[in-house]
Amino acid sequence: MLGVGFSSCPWLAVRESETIRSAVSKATHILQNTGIPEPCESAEYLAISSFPRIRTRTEALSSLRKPAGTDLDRFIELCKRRERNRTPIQYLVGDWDFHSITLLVRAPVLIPRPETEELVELVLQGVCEEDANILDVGCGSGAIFLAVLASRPKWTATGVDVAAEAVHLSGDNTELHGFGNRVSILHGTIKDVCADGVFDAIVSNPPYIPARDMEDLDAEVKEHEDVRALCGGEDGLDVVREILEFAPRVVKPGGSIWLEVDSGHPAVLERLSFEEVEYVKTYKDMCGKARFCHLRVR
Amino acid sequence: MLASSARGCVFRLSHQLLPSANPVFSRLCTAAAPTSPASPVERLTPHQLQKLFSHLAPLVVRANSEHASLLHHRSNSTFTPSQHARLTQLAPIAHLTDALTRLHHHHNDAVHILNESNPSTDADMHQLARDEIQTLNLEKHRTAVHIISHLLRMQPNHTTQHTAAPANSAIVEIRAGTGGDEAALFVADLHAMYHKFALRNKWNARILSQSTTTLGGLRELILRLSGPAVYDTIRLEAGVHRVQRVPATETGGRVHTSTASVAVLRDDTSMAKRLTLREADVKIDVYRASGAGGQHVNKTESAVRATHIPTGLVATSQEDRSQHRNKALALEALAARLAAKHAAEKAASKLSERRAQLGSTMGERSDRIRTYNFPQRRVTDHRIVPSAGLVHVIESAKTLVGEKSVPLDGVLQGGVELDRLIGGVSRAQQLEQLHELVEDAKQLRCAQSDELGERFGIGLEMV
Repeated sequence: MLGVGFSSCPWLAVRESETIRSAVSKATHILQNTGIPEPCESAEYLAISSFPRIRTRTEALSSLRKPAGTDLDRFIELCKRRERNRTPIQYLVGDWDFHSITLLVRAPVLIPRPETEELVELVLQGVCEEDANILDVGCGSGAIFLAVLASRPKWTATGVDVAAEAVHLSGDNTELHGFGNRVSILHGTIKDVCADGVFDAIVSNPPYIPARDMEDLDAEVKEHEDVRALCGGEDGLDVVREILEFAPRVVKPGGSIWLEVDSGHPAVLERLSFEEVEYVKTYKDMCGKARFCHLRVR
Repeated sequence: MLASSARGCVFRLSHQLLPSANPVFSRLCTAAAPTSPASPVERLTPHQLQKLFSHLAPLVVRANSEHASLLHHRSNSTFTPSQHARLTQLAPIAHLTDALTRLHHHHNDAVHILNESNPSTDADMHQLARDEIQTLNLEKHRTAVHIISHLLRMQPNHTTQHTAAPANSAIVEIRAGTGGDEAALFVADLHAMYHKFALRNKWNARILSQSTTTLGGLRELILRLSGPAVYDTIRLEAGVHRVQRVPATETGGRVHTSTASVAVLRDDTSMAKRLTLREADVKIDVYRASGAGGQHVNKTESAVRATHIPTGLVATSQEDRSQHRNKALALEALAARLAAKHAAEKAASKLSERRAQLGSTMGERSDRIRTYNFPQRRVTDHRIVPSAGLVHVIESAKTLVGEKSVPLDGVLQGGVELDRLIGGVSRAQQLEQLHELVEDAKQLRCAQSDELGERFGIGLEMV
């Protein structure tokens, strides 16, 4: 590349594409040359977002349709944001699938991770009450409690988050799924949840990245997602400790606490002794890492 | 006086008894035409059909006597369900034989009238007789074609014989053979061909498993195709496909030969649903790089691979944005592959000792079925050749099957050229089956005397 002034040249070639297939192919190459991670996925998912008749990645790769000018403009605009800012694909697309549902996603609220889908499964299998009431601490986009409610028509849930953006986004997602009459959302921490012991269980994907790991994160994560959703303090367990301290006030005796944590944490938590909470079991994720902790309020 | 009353009698009777006026007969003929529209039997000239039919007459005789015997035993309490099924299978042949016999008699009567009437003094009568004979010939021809079709259908290695599983879903397995990366690229080409072919036929195509190479080739691809008559059409693709071209990686411009093998299995979707995979038997892998994972990383990669440890069967899913859903899809695909494997093994053990049909339900075959020649831009299917023994019975067998070589581009687009090849193979196979029938009949002929054949009055004399 010759210099700043010429940096838009390769995208001009994309604007001249005769087919959607070639536009996607050229965009992939540009992103690849710039060193953008997941160049194929980027171009293909952004194509699905931009071209109305393209609904799958395979269609994006094979369509010989001639793209409309406005659609091409939109496509290039999204690709440029990906290229220049390392904006996560999901934010550019605006929605993403999690577990069995589709959610709106919006910066800087944490984009749901695949591991967290397994946390949802653990809760669904582990909580036996037919009409359980659960508390999602640090609910973010609402991913966990909404996926749970989608599978359990009689359950109710409360989500709580320190970030106003998260409160708004999980509210929008709740409305999107029509669960308004089963859900309450609070702006705050677990300390702000009323201490009546009304919940059957707590589930949480709290920020758990140790402070020292924060600077090694990919640009997609570090520069776009809320640090309050990621960093758990020096050892990563700050918010976890807060949850475990206040859980007995909000959860019924015998009720469960399900947590997603960093892979080093289960070993630490297993060894700690709490007055009112007992450690039950550690579960691994699909990559074989210790990832989920099941505890119980005595 | 006698002549005129006999005339009136013949015409009235023949009109009433014309098989097409008989509701039972009509149902038999129109309901289940066992051969495809491109059936070679339907394309035979009257003379060819007559010759073929006379070869097959002993089989018709045998079918009728078996039918009569079963009917006789039907009232017994020991009559089994399989005997009942056999009776149902033979019934159409018995009805059609009766019809043919009646047509034969009326034909003889009409010929008699034609010979007795004078063309100049009795022009009307003469013409009526002529017309009558014409109609009867057509009916006899149709009836004979249907009888032969039913005989074909009753053969043990006909596709309907193997299993009760429905024919509207199939699992297609494409694997790279010799030729390394080039073979893998060829697998990708075949995948594209079948995908477009499926779209044209309005079938549903879904990938159950795939393993890719770095160059965009495919080591192995398992597809599920579903839609009307999928299995009967696509089963003819089973075998080794050979490609001759200059590989993308070749610098010297030399033509190389590589292969890919295609296997086709019946997909029993209801059985797959009932199959429960034991958790301990299944290994789940996700295609993510090692590292801290969890909140540390945001990737869209969601593909899942499920492996059935006892059999080694693999299924993958990467269509969905949710890893959770991909896992469910991969397990579903794995169940489909397992069910198909079980069904194929069962079918293989049920096959009779007859010579195995081309495009069998079993896995890979070592037979080279088709060559895709890029320099010549042509595809040749090596199965579109009637055997020498058959040409003896039907001289025009070679023209009946059609061309064995068609333009390459149309085939790779899954277009009508591919239809033509598949049609040609289907016709060649049916002619082979006819040949087998003729061979069977020969053996019977020794045991049965020709007198029996005459007594049944089977034959097609044309004026």
